[in-house]
Amino acid sequence: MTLSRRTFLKTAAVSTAVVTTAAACGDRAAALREFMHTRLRAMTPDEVKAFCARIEKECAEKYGKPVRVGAEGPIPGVIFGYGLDLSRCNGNRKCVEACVEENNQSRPSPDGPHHNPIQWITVLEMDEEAGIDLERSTAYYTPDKVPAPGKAYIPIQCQQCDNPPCVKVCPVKATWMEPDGIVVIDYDQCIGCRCCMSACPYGARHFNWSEPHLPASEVNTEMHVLGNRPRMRGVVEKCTFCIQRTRNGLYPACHDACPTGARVFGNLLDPESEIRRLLATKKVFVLKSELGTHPKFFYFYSV
Amino acid sequence: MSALTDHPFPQFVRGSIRLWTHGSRTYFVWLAALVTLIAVGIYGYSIQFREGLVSTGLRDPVSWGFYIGNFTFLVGVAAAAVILVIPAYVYHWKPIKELAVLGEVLAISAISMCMLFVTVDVGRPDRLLHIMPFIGDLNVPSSLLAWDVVVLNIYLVLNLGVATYALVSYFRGREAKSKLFVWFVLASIPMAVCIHTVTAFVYNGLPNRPFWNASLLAPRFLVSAFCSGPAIMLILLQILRRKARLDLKPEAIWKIAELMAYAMFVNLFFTAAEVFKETYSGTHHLKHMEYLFFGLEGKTALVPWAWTSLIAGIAAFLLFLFPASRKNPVTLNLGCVLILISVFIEKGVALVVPGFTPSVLGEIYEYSPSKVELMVSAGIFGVGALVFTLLSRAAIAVLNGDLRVKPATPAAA
Amino acid sequence: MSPSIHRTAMPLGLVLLLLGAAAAACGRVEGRTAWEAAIHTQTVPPVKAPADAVFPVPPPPFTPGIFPCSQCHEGGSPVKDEAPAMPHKLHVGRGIECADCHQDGDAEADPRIPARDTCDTCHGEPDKLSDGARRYFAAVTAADGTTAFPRRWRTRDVSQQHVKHIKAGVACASCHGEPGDGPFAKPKPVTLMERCVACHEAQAKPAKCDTCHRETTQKPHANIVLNHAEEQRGCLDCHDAADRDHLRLANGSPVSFEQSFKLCGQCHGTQYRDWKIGLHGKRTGSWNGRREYRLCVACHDPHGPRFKPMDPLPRPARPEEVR
Repeated sequence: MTLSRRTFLKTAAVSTAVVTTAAACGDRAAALREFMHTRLRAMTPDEVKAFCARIEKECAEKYGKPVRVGAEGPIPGVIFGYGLDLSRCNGNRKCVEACVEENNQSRPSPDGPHHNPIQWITVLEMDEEAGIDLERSTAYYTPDKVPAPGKAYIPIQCQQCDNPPCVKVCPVKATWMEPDGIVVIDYDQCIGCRCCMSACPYGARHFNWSEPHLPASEVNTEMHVLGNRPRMRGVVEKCTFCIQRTRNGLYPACHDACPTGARVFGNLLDPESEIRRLLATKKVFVLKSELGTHPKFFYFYSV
Repeated sequence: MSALTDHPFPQFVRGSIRLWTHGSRTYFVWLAALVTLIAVGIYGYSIQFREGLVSTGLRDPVSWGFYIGNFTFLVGVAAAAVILVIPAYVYHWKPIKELAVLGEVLAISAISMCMLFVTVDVGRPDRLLHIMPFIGDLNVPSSLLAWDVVVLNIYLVLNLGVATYALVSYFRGREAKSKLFVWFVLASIPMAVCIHTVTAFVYNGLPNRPFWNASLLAPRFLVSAFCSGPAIMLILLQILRRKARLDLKPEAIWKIAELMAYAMFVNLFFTAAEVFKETYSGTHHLKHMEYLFFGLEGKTALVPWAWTSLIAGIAAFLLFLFPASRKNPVTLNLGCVLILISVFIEKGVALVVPGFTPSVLGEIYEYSPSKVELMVSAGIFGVGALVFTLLSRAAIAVLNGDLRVKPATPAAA
Repeated sequence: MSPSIHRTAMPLGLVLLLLGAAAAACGRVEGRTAWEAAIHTQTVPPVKAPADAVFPVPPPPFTPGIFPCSQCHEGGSPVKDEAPAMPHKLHVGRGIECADCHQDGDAEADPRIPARDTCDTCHGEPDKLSDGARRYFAAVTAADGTTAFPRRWRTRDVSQQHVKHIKAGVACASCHGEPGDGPFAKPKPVTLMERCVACHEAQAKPAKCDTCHRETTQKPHANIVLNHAEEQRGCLDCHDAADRDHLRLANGSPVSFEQSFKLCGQCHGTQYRDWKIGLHGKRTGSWNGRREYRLCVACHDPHGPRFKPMDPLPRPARPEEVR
């Protein structure tokens, strides 16, 4: 059987093409894995550790000081719940400040190129006689002293819904509810489509419209990979009940900052926890219960 | 080798390329205009890419805007191709059959624009692969946006397949009637309903946004698409008839216009039903409609648009209602333009923005598209127009018989 | 194309569409969540402070530097007084009337300690003075030779009221007791005050702290304005009269400042209960371990427990300002 030159060339060309394509595909698959490997939920513990180490290194370079990026998992038998006493809240916004400092949010920079301050807690001011009427509220109150006469206040942050509408609309599974009830975001997975912001009934999700401004001197170096590690432009962020604190036994920062002691926090599965005591002794309500979101954030009036 | 190049498909491609690179002065002026538009869009996007989405008018309270509005409108346009496909393929209704190909070409351009609008709207375009089926981890069946991506991709593939197969068949002087082809065509019909329904469901499934959380939303999307899609088709067909010697029978236009009249009636009826329900109930939910039609707290940017849309919609309906005016080319085209304006405003501005205003916490932020958004949108419409121009140029040539397969070359070589 | 194809294919497609939507809608099965179930099945133990709660004692923020009170107040213990008392018993026993020395016939004059001249009428010869008398005179004679109560003896603002009391016809003995009863020179201030209050109440005269204590309320207690059910309550309802370093409960038993929550809890039972189980007041530390409770007085000024208005922190940026 004679092998004509033409056939040979043809065969050679085809096989070269096949091999090259296969190799390229192999490379591409590796590259793709590399590209996709930031999917935190698909990582093994070792990969998560390596990933945290990488962020630590990046942050250390960027902010010039050592940081710790933890990946503490949920504590078994714990579901976090929050209570807020509206009789006590006087709208002083100390919780907001503590939250921003704890969670490495983008700071105001009126003179910088980007002024995109992000706050996870919104404190609304309402007329006392209006009850809780969000339509007639404002977050931009500036009286000399709070509480202003005739005004009532309600801080709103992520309600950590048990049936979170934001999670179900995310097209890329970048946000989910952890076993301890905290709804978290994988900042490296988020594509910034803002579906979750449309779906959230509480305005709790915030978008990095421009490059976040976080001065190195103000960085909180205790971080969690699903919590307060610095975010990038174009992704959504939200309250995580200070996952870096609460998973290590501490109260959230807003809880500790409240000067009127209006905040209650604890484990919903522990009958002796403060939050369960609250549910047992006070009448509580949740915001927009008609939406079936089952928030784990309870408001009450102690007097 | 020669067998490969002589295959009808490469021939068709070569023929098409020849058509694209040759043409009248008007054609090249038009191309130049589109390229300029695209350049403007690229410039706008370069700003947005550098600065982030902060260069748009979007902010936390109104987190979707002109981009997503245009996306929604164009999904409707794409879906409307079905109105031409149903009679053409299912009922073998001759006058429309060939036009159906143009409908599919329009659908293809509209979907390309949809994809581009989604791309420019996301905060991390570098991660867009996360949302591609099979590559990323799509949140199906839970996320309607993920569904939307799936059905839009399927719809795009179906339309590409159907249009290409039909054109290549006509190119070869044959009827397009392979069994697989028929199934594709039939599949594309529910898919057209799907893309618009699922897009509507993206909004509809958000109970925290009462302006969208009405079960009439998806039906309204469909009927408004059945108004705007054919309106674009009618205008384009007439332009093509003049400029590209498209053989267009008046009965085809009249038939489309008649179907549009029904759609417009249903559209107005649905709108009226919504308005009644909200105004008579007078709950908080009315706020959004109030903002749209009257403004809230002195913020009235949408008011002129809302009334323009409503009045244009009613006027177009009246023009299409009477056979005399719907068969008169002047009033017909006026009606088309009016309904197009009406639906474009309704979907592009009056659907998305009032849904966010007031926000879930009662904040009223007055959104208006920034210059960057307008530039980028113009660029995307430029891309869509370019796609349509090129594809329809080839399609019409095939339908005219100007582009036909050459008889097999003699085997002399 | 056969009509049967489109008759089956189109409904099939629509059914698929609806199935997709239904699948999306079925994301959640309605029912009790884990914690809701827990709430309904677990019983909450009776109210008591969590075992791991600690009650720290931050010094009350409103009394910097003047605690303990005994720095100034002598409390209920015997007067630690080196200065000798003037032996009134001796004088009265010899037929000397109060007004002979204290000039109370002249209502305009303040019948405080007599001038040295008055004493010198009898005690003019220094050589004949007893040691006690000598010490007494040394204690009451100022550098310029005038006589005055030593500072520690004085309830100054009360002495300013002498004229008023005399004009009102209050007998000396009403406050000072019968001269024959005892040393009489310096009644224990607390005992005296109780007597004042009893008399004022009997006479339906004002009996608030600042009715008598004008000067002292302006000095170490200047920041104290009683705004805490002041119609029903005075200082000694909470401060122990006998021992100023302690507080007292309604039943009279003393309680330390560190345990002041017990005192507050007497009236504010609901808040006390809530505080014990962590629903009232600020706590810091760990939600599942050691946590520090604040005393009531860490947040509430006990003399005016209502929260004072605060300065709010700056408002958030408006969306229009973001760039």
